[in-house]
Amino acid sequence: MPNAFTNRLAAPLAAIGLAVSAAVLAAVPAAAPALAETREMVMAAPRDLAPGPEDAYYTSTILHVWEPLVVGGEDGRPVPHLITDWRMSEDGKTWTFTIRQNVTFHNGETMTAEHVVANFRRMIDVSPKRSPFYTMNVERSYPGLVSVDAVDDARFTMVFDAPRPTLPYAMVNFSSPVVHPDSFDDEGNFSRFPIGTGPFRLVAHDPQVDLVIERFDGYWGAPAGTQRIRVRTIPDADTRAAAFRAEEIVAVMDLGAMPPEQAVGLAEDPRFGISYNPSSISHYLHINGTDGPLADARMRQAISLAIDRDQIVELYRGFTTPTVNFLNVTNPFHIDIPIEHDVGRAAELADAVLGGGRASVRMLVPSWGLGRYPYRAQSELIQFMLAPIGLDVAIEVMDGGAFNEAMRRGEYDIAMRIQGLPNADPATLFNSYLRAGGNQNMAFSLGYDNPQMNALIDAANASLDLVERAELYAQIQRLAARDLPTVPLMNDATVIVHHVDVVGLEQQVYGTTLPRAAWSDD
Amino acid sequence: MLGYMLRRMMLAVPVLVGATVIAFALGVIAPGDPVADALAQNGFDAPTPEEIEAMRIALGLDRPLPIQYFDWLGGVLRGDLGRSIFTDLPIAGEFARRLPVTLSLAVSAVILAVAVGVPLGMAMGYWRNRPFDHVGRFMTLTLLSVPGFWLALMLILVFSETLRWLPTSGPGGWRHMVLPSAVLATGMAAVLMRLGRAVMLEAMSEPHIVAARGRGLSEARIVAGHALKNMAAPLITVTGTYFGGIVGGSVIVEVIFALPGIGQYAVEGIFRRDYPVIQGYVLFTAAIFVLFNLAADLACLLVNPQVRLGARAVA
Repeated sequence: MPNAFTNRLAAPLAAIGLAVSAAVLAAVPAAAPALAETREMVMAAPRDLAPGPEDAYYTSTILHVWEPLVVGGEDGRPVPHLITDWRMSEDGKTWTFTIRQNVTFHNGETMTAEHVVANFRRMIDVSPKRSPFYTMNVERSYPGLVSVDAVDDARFTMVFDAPRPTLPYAMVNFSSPVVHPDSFDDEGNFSRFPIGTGPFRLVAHDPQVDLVIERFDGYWGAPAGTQRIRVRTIPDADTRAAAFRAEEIVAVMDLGAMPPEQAVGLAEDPRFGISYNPSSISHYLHINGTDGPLADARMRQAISLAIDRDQIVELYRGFTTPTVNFLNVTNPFHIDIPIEHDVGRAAELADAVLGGGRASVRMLVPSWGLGRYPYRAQSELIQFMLAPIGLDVAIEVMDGGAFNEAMRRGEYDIAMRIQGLPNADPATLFNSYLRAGGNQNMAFSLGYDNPQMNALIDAANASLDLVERAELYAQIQRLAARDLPTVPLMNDATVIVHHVDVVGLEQQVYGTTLPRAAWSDD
Repeated sequence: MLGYMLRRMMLAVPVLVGATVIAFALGVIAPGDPVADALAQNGFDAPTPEEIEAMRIALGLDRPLPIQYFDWLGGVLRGDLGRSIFTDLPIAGEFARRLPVTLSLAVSAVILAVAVGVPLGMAMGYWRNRPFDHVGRFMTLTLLSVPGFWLALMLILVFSETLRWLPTSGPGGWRHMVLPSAVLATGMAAVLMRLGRAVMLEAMSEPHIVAARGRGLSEARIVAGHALKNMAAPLITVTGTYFGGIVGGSVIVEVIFALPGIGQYAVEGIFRRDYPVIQGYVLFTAAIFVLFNLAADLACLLVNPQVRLGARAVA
């Protein structure tokens, strides 16, 4: 019986098997071309860097398609970019800006003050406008803005209802984008690819798949180092690493571009190099200050003292830096505050609150953090570190929406969270986190209310003198490190990986030196 | 036949209406405030209560729930699934853009699973308790036990990183579909192998097969003419169910292989509590399942007209 079957039906079965194998093998000759065979630079990012026409900016600033009026310098201070200088009136309410001459949009038109004013007017009309990068919100970036007007082709003014001595700090990056007004439709959405002034033009975009940017030859500054860059969207970090090893991509960029562990692994391969830079993001343990055992300031201090931040930093392969300062290290007003790690003193403080007993606390971990950071190991480490001070920590991983809702409702004790700097003026974060009734103070149920802090923030907001303001900001940071309305853990860093055939690509505080990226043999 | 089709289609209506109610209710009762999250997508911004309320009004989310539901249902009937709270993009447009990716993935996975699973399963049944059968049974167990994400990473390691035969990820032609399809096909192929084996065992022991042998029919004709025929109906049912499952649930594969399909869109919607997207996805998935079950039933009827369905058939 089997013999007869074998004779008649084995052939069709084998044919099917062969067909499947052949289908796979047929792919061999058509495999991706090696790096040297194409001059297009293929990179990857974990998310689509061009969310599209309904987005406030269409593309992320890290693609260098559009440019802001002001960028952040290496020391975090604002640096004029599409403007050349600024002048504040004596009362601090009126600012006059001079725009850079000979800046050309991608459509060939020269940038004028009217173009810039049109962008501010659009910002006013559409605010708040959604974006995965930063919500465009004129109230947040420019509170008290009364008017924006062109004086002539080269100058424009911004008038406020109160003094704004740190205005340039608030204008960095996403707060002052400039694209040609022809890019917008009547509703303030983009009607076409953004017509920017940057060294690259967006020339193709397949949502969630890839985008292509090309060098803009009419750029006012140094021309981009490479003619054409394709940025693929690869959400999974393991797949991005595999794409590197298969030499399908030559670099990654954006926040969380490569988790530290994988970056170090790739860097062991001589084909790849890494670059990292402190980012404007800080990691915190938010504490529910409205209810429960941790509402007592001594418990927050005990938690801070019990945590060995150096051990946590090791989970990040040393890329991050430990801190107890609420303000991120990249901010120009940041001050150094010594870190204390003293489990004995922490236990004493906790004993005083808990009466020698123990307390069960609930620590929330956002699920999105598990892919970008070693949050699982970090939460378990913190759980271990808090046990000696009488805290029995139960870890709960939650999806973003539920996580935020639990924090809003105060249904948590500890939560792992990050916070970025919306701009270079720390007043935005101080007002939101540290002032009683501040947005984030309320949204995260921090329950922080210290009249001394409120007075310091008020004084800083009212000060027209930058030196005096810097001193007040320093006092605020010291007071926050003492009161710990939230427990800072470390300053984050962004790590990127690139093929050694690509030179000039380095990570900056936000974004990379993409325009300088070039093939090593060019 | 036509009457049966109409009856089945009528029965699908309450199922789909029920799905719309559940989809809408899920969106409403899910924890989280999508409006607040949409205004703080990067996790850094903190919208004020006034800003949240203004956007809620702009999106019509301040209206009573029944009005919101019927408004949404009216849109669904017109082919408008609403707009994403996060991206402000039309959801129907996103589905239309992503559906070809998911469909091509599902079709290629099913073809691969059938091409591998059916002949191997039938051969296992034919050579029952022979080494081929033992190896095959071990294979089915292995294929069913292997986690999809692990298999995906292993296939990428071998075929993309080491051999450089196939791309690691992204859409872009049939070569890009080989690895994700193989991952999706493994579970179904294993099920089809077991099914093929069982059908073959049953068929070969039936009296008419014994009689056919007695009449001197060749083994090949017996297998092709009788056993394969018996395989058709369960194959169609399993394939229909799996196809619906893949279209609605190939999330992990789409994320790992960076394929912008329906599953990836749904998972983004779920993480963000973007409930118009979740509602659209649940409704879409329900419609797909209803459609494919209906198609599978009709195909069974066509393949084997002796099958009678419903009360009249029993009578």
